[in-house]
Amino acid sequence: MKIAISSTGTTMESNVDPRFGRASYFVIVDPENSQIVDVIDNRASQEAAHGAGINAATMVAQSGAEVVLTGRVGPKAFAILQAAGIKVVSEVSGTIQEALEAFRSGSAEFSHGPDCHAHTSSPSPRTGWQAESGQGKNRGCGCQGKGKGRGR
Amino acid sequence: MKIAVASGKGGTGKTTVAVCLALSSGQPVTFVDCDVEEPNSHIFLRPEIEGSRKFHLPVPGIDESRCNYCGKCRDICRFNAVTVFGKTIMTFPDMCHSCGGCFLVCEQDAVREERRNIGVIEWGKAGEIDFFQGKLRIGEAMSSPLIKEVKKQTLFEEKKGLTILDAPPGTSCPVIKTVRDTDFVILVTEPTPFGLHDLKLAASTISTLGIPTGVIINKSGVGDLGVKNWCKDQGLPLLMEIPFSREAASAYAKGVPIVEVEHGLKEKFNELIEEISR
Ligand code: SF4
Ligand code: SF4
Repeated sequence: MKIAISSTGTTMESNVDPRFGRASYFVIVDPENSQIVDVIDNRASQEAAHGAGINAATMVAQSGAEVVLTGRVGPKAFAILQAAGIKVVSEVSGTIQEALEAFRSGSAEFSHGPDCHAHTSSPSPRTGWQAESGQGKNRGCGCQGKGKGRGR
Repeated sequence: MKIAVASGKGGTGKTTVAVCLALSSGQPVTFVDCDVEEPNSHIFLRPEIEGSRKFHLPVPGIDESRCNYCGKCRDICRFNAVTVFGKTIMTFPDMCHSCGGCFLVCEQDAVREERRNIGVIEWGKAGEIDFFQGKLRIGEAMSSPLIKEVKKQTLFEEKKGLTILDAPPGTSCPVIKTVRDTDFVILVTEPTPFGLHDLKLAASTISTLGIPTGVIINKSGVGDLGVKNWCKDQGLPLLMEIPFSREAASAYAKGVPIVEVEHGLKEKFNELIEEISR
């Protein structure tokens, strides 16, 4: 099994990056032996104007990870991770090592929906920060993707 | 003559100025409310809406029976509006800028055109004024294409007489879309440090387009001289100062254009239009 953890660096001592879409890196860890098996460089996302979460979630899905440990996940990224069958643990902090140990101790709870505050809305000249664009109840921010996969 | 009225942020009196211009000219006037997220000039102009049409953007819909998950559509999309991983393809229509890239690049003919409604265009008459406005669907972010379409509806290129465009607040793409191909831009600001800050941003955005620009200070008398001094330094003409007055504020609150209550203001705006047209 592989776990993807959003990270500010590339070692077990690096801190968990609280942002999913704009995390600097994703370290892919094998929880059996606490080894880093792969690192995804996501630094380019910091310049991306739109859809950083979509891009990050796609790369994580392609990595073959089954679980994501991170701070906050937006609705679009969550929809992708869900479609890929990846479980998400949010509100994770500390170092990669600590996050992994907490996960292994079984204390982590899987998220059932996106952490909507991570929704990266653009600054609006009118209100400073644009309000969420919700379109109804229990639909996250109303901006989930369309289409389903057929398994992998 | 096409005059766009813009401001670095909302609430400076941009719409007030645009409405005053429209009501003060002797020429035939077309009014275009391009502030599609929050069009409110209709509150003051009270147009009779005579027609409307919905506006759609073409977005990709995937025929999964044809798709081989090659990922070419994902790789070409600069907006991350479509993604592919494993045997899964997902589209995010609200991210799509309708650039057409994914349609072109798909070799399997799996990308089909779907239409996504982003808002509505309305037109009618406000007295003698030809009135147009765009209204973006709530929660929608793609204001630029709608603005472009509203201008198209007015037959912008061939338009004679005076056209007034009320731009969205801010300094981003929708402002540029509104201002492009106009003859003059009026920037409305308040005489405060915040007003100056936003004015600087707006002025630098507009300056990239090379359109003659001037400044109107709204509520003059309440703030400081920062805006005035800066305009002088920059060689940006100060076109008018609208003094703060109780009558104007209460007229505004009731949806009455301030040229109706402020004595002599209509004449001042008429002169301004003449001067700009010269
Ligand atoms: S380019 Fe066409 S075939 Fe390839 S993944 Fe996209 S839709 Fe499918
Ligand atoms: S039309 Fe352009 S912006 Fe829209 S999904 Fe296709 S490539 Fe992306």
